[in-house]
Amino acid sequence: MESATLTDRERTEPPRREPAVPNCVIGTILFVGTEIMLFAGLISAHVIFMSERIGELWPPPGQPRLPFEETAINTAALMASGIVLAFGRLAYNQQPRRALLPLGMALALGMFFVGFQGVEWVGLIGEGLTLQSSTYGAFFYTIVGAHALHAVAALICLAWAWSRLWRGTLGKAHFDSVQIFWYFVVLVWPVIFFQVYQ
Amino acid sequence: MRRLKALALALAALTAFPGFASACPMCFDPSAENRMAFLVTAMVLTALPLGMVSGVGLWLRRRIRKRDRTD
Repeated sequence: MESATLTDRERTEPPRREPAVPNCVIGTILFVGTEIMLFAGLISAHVIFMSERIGELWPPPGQPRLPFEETAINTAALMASGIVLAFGRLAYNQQPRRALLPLGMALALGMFFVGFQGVEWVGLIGEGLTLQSSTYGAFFYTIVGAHALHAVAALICLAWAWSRLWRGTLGKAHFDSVQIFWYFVVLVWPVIFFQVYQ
Repeated sequence: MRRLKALALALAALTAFPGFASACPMCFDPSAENRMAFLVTAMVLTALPLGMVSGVGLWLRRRIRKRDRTD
């Protein structure tokens, strides 16, 4: 009797509608929005700090110069990973498994970027640039380190997406969420690069 | 009338604190570059969240309207 009542209720209920935007995409957008504000705050602090140092010797005496040219190559690798991921999304629309290669390439380029930065950091620490050595070092490691943390987190998400795609269980909404996170990591980097490394 | 007097008194009290206003780095910093840096970063940090919230809001509205049209 009870089950019959439930069925009647179910019959009278309006059909469930697809959400206009999936919850995971909304959640990722909100997260990325807060992280954009974090980086905006850090970069603003750096802009003001640098404006106070116009006309002074920069970098401070005894501190190494940041490797602009080498990091430019690394920046190109990160940008390429973003472009490859965009092609991956187009391939996913045609046939999900076709996105395996571009997604894997984006992951590899992202890993190259983080690995290259690790090597760069080892070199800079060897030359005497540390978090405590100067405000120059403190700004560098705080801003670039915060970005590297986000890059590692986004790479873990990309690897998770790739493994789900391999098993054939990656939904469009999850792909979009991971893509938004990775684009944030890719697009915030040039701002940091031209601000901190110049 | 009593409210008007209180408001006038509060406005008059504000003139007793010009020292606080002088602490504004955007208005009184001796370096022009520094003043400009404060101005630009203040504008960016004000406009960025407003722009993001309105952008996402408009995008959501468009998506919902599109879904409603197709339903």
